[in-house]
Amino acid sequence: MKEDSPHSRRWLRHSSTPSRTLSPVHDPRMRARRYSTLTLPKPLVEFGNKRMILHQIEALAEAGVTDIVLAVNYRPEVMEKYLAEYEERFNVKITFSIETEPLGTAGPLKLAEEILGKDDAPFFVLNSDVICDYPFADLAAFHKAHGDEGTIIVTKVEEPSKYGVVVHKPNHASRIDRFVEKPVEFVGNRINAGIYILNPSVLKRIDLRPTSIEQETFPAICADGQLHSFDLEGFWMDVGQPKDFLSGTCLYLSSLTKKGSKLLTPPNTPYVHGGNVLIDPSAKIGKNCRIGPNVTIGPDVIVGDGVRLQRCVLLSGSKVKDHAWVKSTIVGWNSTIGKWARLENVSVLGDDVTIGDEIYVNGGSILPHKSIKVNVDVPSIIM
Amino acid sequence: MSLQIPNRSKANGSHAATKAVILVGGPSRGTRFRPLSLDLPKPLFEVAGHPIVWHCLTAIAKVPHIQEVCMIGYYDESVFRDFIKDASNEFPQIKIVYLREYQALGTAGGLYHFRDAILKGRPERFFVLNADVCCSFPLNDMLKLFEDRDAEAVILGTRVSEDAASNFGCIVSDAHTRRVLHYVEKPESHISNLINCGVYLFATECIFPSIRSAIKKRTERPRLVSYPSSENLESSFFQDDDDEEKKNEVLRLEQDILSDLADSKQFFVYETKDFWRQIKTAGSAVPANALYLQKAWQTGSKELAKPSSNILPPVFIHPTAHVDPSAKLGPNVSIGPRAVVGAGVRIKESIVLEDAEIKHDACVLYSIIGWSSRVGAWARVEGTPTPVNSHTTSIIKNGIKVQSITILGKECGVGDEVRVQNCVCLPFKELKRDVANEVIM
Repeated sequence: MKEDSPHSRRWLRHSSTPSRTLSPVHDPRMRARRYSTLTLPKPLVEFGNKRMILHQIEALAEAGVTDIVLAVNYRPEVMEKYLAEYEERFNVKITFSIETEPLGTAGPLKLAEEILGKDDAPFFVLNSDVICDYPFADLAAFHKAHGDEGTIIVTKVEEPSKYGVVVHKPNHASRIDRFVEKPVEFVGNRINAGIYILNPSVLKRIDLRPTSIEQETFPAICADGQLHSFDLEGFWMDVGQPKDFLSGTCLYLSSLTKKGSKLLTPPNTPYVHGGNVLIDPSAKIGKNCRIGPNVTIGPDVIVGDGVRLQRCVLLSGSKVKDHAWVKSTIVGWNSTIGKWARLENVSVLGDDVTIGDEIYVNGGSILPHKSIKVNVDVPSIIM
Repeated sequence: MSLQIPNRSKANGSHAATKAVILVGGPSRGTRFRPLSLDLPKPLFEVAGHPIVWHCLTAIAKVPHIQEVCMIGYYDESVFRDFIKDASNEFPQIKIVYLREYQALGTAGGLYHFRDAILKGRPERFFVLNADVCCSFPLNDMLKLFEDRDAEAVILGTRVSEDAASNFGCIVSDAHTRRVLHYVEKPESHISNLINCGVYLFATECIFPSIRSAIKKRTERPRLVSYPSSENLESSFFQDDDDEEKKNEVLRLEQDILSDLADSKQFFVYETKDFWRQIKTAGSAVPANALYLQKAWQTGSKELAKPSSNILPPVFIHPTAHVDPSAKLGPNVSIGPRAVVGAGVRIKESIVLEDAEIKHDACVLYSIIGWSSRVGAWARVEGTPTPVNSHTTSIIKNGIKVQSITILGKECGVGDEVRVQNCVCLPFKELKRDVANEVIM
């Protein structure tokens, strides 16, 4: 599985036993993106007003995980303060495992062998960009029940031809026979969702060199009939790309609605339109706004009068001035959108971007600290 | 033909009878002003709160002792009836008559055809104004030059950029005397960047004989057709003129008369440093609106809306229009009769015509909103600003020529939250999806 498979692409991975986890960050494109449009390391980006990594740590802790390893290729100092807080809050131990050279998707597991293999308990592995209702407890129970070496979570997709598809053994519901990369003919519609539970014995199959878990490790386990799939209930999205980040937010907010979450702004609020609206209590909303569906508004955000928001994410400290119209856009921290501005078509504003009054932005990726004074008519990156 | 030669009293000119002629064209002209000319003759289209031709008339009214204005065109008489009635009330000192050509005779042909009407009252000289010109019409300055130089003809000229000049009639003049040495319409090569503004002052004793001799020459030898530049190929050659050119009676001042005047007559140019634009395409109404509004603002016109935090001058709001106090308008905005502008609306560099409605939080920039058109809430109707000095209303986007100004024709509808950019929309269209760089038929 190469570039296009949804999980080999971006790697914040955690692996965990009931006592450990791993999470690397070493795709150069991801670094580029982190340093360009959004300044925070991606695990710290708020997804549904909660940092990506917090969604994951929370779910892992709930499933009884006590050790978490973040597999990274550099040490993001900015992360440490948050992680210290999370260690305390969830009573977990978080360790960085730093690659000095890129080790692919399997190598980092070997690098963390000391922690992951310290006893016989299995460990979870997850890609940092994957968002879903993490079913860790059920996954661990299922894994224990079949007793084989590994279980990967699979998710149903509409267009399997774009992914690597899982093919099961004949007459077996979960045991995986093989993977077919981008099948031309229909062979199945379940794909690797980028979340696994593996026995420590798997570590013996991995060499400490750049190596791919999807292309080398899993086929080898499959050949021994030791790999199973576990169907994911509910939504799943790899949110590594801004477009998918927005789609994933819609799925997440819909799942909150379905659960009747109290986090959501009640749909009968006058300005809420179409539901799925998540607003931090510290945000201020002006008069005569129409907000929704699928809007996330972060802490300390200020929304002016007569603003129209839909399918967008306003990160903390951002400001949308009166009468602006924002759709399919990620508004970065402390950015400002001018009066009567119109943003749409997967526009992404970095940290501290200013969009002038009456400006139109169509699919613009605006790097941090830029001030935009002329229309961005066609999708482009504004350096 | 009897040409009267009145006594010329050059001392102060106050006794010399002066008339004015406004050339208003006809329905087969003004096609480039579509879709706005589909519903109204171009001269009656309102910019800065008044019909285009009204702006000509006010300039004429400032010339002392002008008693009569002849509008010459080939629209039906009924077209200007109401306008003339209203204007006669506003300018009681001036008699306004409409002289209808039953076929297009050309600018010079029209003058000649109605020479008896023009010569009635024995004017010594008369102004000729093209109605599709937007400028400050410094007629008194032209008159002064006319008298100072004992001229037979004065043309209003303005400087444009060198590359724009060849789209216009070019004037070569003597820098000191201001005498016109050479005139050529839309030259292929660069001749001069002093161009013809389409405003003239002619001595009656000079212009009619000149036209007559041009007619005579015409019948003796075929006329040299000046070659249009590529920029104007369509407009200046094929589109309007082909059929007319074949008719012998069609005579145009620019092509047929001015060059000969430069050769043989006391022909001078008054160069204006003030604004000047042609009103050819519908989009050109937006810069014309802006220029007339600015002029009104500079002269302290009482008609304009009072500046405030939400009114960036100059803005004209018709007394019968309703504009929500939270709407922000200007600069260079005209709101027509009975138009409704909702809360939190933004309008800039635009014209909103009669009975149009702009719903709350919508944004209208560099656009014309046609009669009874509706713009939905949070909609965005947008054109593209063109450089201040630009004499064209089209721009190149993605290699395609599009109109810089967005125009909605009569009774168009733009849905809530819909975006319309650089489009020309024919009447009665409903726009429910975002659209850019198109002509919507």
